[in-house]
Amino acid sequence: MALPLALPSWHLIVQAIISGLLIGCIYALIALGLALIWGVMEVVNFAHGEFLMIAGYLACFLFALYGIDPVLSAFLGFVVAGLIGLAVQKGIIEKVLGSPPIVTILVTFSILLILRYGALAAFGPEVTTTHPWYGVKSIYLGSIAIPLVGLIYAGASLAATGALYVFLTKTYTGIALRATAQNRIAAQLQGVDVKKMYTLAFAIGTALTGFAGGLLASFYYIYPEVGARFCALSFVIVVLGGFGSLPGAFIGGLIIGVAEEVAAVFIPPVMKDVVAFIIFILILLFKPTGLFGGRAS
Amino acid sequence: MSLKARVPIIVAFIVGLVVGVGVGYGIFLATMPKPGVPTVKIGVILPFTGPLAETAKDMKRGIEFAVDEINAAGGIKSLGGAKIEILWGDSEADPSVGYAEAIRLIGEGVVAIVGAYQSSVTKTVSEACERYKVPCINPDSTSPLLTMRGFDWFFRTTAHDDPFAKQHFEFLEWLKAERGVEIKTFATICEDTEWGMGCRDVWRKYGAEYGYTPVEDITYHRGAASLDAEVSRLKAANPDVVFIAAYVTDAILFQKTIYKLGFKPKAIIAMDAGYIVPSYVEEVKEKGYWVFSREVFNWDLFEVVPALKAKNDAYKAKYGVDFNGNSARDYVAIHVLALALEEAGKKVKPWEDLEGFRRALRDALAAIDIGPDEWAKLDWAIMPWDGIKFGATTEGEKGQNVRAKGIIVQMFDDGKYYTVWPREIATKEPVFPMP
Repeated sequence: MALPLALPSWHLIVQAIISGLLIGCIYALIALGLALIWGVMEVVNFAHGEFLMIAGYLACFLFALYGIDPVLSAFLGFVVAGLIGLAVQKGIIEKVLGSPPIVTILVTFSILLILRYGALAAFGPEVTTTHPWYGVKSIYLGSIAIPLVGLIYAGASLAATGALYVFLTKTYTGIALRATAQNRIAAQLQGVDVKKMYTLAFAIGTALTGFAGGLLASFYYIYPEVGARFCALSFVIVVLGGFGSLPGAFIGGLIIGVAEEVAAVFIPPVMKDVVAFIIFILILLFKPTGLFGGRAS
Repeated sequence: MSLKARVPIIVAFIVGLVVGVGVGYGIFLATMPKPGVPTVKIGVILPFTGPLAETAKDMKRGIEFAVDEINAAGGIKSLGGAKIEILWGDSEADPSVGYAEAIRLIGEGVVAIVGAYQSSVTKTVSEACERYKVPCINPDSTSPLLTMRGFDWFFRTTAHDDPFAKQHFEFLEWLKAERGVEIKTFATICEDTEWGMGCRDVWRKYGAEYGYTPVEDITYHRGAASLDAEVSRLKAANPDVVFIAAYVTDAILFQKTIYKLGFKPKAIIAMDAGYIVPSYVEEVKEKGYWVFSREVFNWDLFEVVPALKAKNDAYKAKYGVDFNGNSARDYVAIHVLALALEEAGKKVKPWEDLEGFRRALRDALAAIDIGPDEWAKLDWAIMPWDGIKFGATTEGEKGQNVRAKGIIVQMFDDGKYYTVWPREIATKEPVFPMP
């Protein structure tokens, strides 16, 4: 039953671009963590979305118990997810580094299952969320709404990205981390402790996702499988941006966010999920190194 | 592994087998009805294991409560006071398992089968019943398709999604007249599943019938990362009323998103599902206020119907929980079946001619005609319906209780749902348009 098709008004498109940029900041943050881990360690972290879920739960519990704002909880989510990431890296992944790629894939996949179904056993399948005061407020420019919660989580995401940028370009450790990503043997010859860099990359990567998880709780809902969709999207974004490229991951996140929202204005929204994956296939076909990826594998 | 090394495993296997068969046979002997005490066997198929186990447990209570009442009151009198005996079948929430369980129960000589909650399982169970000519009573499935098949042996006591949608528009007509507010346009937003699409179709069907204009039709995929675009499109279409069919996660996100993007239609009407799940009610907070949802039963009915309060008190004393839409519907269905058993028993005895009795039971069910006045007097008639009368033709929905109804509830600013429609049993005045 097709409705009379009219060209969508420019309001709708502007609204979609704004919504897309805001949600894109969350995608970007999750993808940054994934890209960092891949760039430095060449490990595909399938359990990435589960760190998002854990931090999301943390924010929901803190909100329910003490009324703590989820954006504040995001900082704690950063620490907690980072510590769990550290433990996973030291306890498990470090032991299998250097094994064939399939081994690390299976290991991170097992961690995914343990964390996801552990959460299901511990918290049950019920859905939970938070209600910050700014959750229902918007700034209106005519009929276009700029949600306050969106500005806050996008701002927090940009701040985290900025902090990561400063860390990677201005500190010795950050530069060593980038050196390891570029060429681990050369870095090792320069006296960089590559093993330590791996641990750091994994911890920072999961911590960034944890930060995103706290932000997610401010506008989305949390349940044991919430990581799945965001993790799948972040894989698309990382490929789009060039596997391992951090600026690529960030820009890629914004592109996917905007592409999905704008597409949903023109096509039935039920198809919008497909858009990201069509972009994924096209990138693989026509620019397998991604938008920003120059590195030959 | 050498054969010698395998010996202990084989021995253990044989011992296990022998013990298992022995224990199984013991249980079989212990649970076998004692000869000489005639019972009327009814099969009940529900999803006792799997994701719906909690719901099935609830419905089992409703069934047991009804059976205990009937047996305590002297059983089926036309059969010499024979007691009702329930044989349970577990569908494991799987249509093919449900079918197999129906075949098993029919083989064990049940006179009728009751079940099976999920429309998909009810579909296969009723197919088995139709084939083997056994009455199938369905208290709790709402897919309209079930009573559009023209089955001779299928009887559904609950209302389904089609009349629920019709009721939504009757409610809107009343609101229009009562409040003098224009309601002309509507939009639907539905999940892209058989259920969601079915809801969309019935809303559009009755929308056209009642003269409302559809201005937007959104389908979305469960678990979307964002509903911003969907809500923006609704906002641009500016409908007076939005109808939504969503499960719990999307329901919460939708409610958050409409506030975030400043979209406020005059009313939002949901086809229950996610909107009545306890975790939704608990989590949605003020973003869920003033939303309407269809229901089959609501806690505040206890306050309007005195008989219901007394019944619920007895039920709660026994099981520690209140009746809800599921347990109440199953409870009522067993009483309806008992009425038909009483009539059929006057003609045939199941222990003399099982097939003849099943036929007589089918005829007795088809002949039931309880109107609103009689319904109001029945002690067990705890559903807010007009009575019981099953449709006789495919066009009139063969086997559908045409006197079953749903109710419409609205969430107030204390976070609870109150009945607002039909007006006879409403506990609150509906708040409309949404403040």
